[in-house]
Amino acid sequence: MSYVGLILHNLRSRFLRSSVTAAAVAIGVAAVVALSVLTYSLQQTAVSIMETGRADFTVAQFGASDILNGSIDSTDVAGIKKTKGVDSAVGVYIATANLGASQPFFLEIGIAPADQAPFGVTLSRGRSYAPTAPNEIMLGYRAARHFGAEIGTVLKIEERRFKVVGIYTTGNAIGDDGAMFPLPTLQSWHSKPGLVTLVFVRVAPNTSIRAVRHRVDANHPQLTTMQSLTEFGRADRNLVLIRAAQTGGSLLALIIGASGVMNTALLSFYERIREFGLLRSVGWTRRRLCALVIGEAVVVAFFGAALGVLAGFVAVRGLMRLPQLVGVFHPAYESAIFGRALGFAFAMALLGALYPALKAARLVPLDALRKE
Amino acid sequence: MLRRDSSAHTTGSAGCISLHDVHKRYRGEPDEALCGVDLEVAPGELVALVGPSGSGKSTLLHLLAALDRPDHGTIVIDGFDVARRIGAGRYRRGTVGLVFQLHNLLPNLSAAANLEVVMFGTHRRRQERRARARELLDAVGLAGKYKDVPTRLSGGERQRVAVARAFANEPQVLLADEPTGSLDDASTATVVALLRDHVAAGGTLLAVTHDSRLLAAADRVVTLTAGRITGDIRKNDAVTLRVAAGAGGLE
Repeated sequence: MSYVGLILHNLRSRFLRSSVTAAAVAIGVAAVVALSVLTYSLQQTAVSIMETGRADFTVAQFGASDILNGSIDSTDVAGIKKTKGVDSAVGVYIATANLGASQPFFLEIGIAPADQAPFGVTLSRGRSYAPTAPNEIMLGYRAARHFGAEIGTVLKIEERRFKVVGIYTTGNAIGDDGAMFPLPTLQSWHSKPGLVTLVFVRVAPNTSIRAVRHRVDANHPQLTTMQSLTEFGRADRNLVLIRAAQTGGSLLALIIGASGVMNTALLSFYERIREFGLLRSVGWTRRRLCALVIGEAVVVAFFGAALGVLAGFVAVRGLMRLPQLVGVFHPAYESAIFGRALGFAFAMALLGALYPALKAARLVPLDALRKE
Repeated sequence: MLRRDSSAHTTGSAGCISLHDVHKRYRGEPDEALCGVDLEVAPGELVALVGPSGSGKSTLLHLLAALDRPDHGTIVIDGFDVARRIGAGRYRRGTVGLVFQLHNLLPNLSAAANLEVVMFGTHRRRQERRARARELLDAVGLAGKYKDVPTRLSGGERQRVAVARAFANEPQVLLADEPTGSLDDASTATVVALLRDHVAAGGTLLAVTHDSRLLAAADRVVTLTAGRITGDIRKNDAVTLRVAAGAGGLE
């Protein structure tokens, strides 16, 4: 029998207890996986919108609770355009519309026709709308497919009717699932004349993006520049709050999970005092005994983590069906989530098993052997 | 087959047991369990320890096995100061083999695995541990019982597993608490022969026993009464030894 074989044998011979411990780990891991996927996906959704315009960096209102609801004045857009090193700066108004259960998060992008090319829009059919047309729109090709719309189709969006004059692609799934409006039309519809949500900036060739960002940040303290997912996550207060909730939820799950592990490990300890005493009396060192208890917990954690990841996926499928999240929550999985889940499971196992392991190691062999 | 290599120890202290003025009192007890015990056991000696219940026999074995510490006095075995905490695990694993009166087998492990776990932390690899466990079980007449868990073994079989386990790491010193207590005649003969083999190879054996066959095989019989050594009879005094073996008043 090998040492690992002994660990597995001990777990098998106490199958129910091992299963309960693994379940405690699995519940914690599932919570972490679901929360992580939810946060990451919401962030990805928001970033996808940001990435609809192919830019070197994006400018948003500083300190906005939700960056996609921020406001940037047209004078600021003009100022950014004039900044040294800026090749183009496209001001875009972004809104969402609820078009029922199938399209609860329909993306509306207000953009001037002249800015469509720098924004990365390619017209695949029809034409662009007139700059101030009150009832003309372009549909993303995915949205057109979804609505079965063609050039000339009249689409009803929140009680207003718009004629589809063009079909476009952006190379971005969320962008292609929405519609583009003349900028003033969308601004006045949402009672925000002269305001845009984001500014998409491209820098001139052979120019340092960092230097241009620095200039924009310096010249417009009420605005913030973002280049990465992380920066977006930091700038958007809602995402900061979601991430804080995720961290808090994960910590809570860690504490609850570790308590579960400790509870079963302690019960197991009291049940096995004689066994530990015997092992010490035949020459097992404290360290070896400690390693046995922690080793058992780590193996349980491994199985718990595997179960937890599966349960987490099931939970994510459940979250997708929540009315509040339909259309907003497109599950996105990053490899770090699995690493985090595994690390979390091992942390739970170590935290939960450490105290019982130390208790086992500190046993006086003779006293332990006398326990009934 | 179970003998240790007698050339393994080159120092003069190999297998020596030396106790000087050993005292032990358990917490809450008015009287000392051991009071001023002096004892020297030479390598190659089989010493039987006898005495009435509560005389301190098991206490003495526990102190020798470094499972407990004396309140006063020195205990040196094979050059190891037993009162030291440091190195006790290695000492229990390598120097002494212990046969418990209540067998103390791990209930969820097979007979062979009960022996193998004792060999963790030694130089033996997994296959060697397995082979050694089977060799020892064969020697105590338990061939074919390797995979049986203790609950499927009789009391005598469990005792033989416990005896085999004590030999697992080829200890220089064997400490046994009633090693033949649950055995039938044939098994007792087998175990006594093993124990004699051990001392014949230069090992030391201190056994708490009231079994006449083991007493007859002993080189010395030491009597413990109320925590004190009250008799120490050597085998060359055959008549006295027989008297001691059949003495009344012993448990």
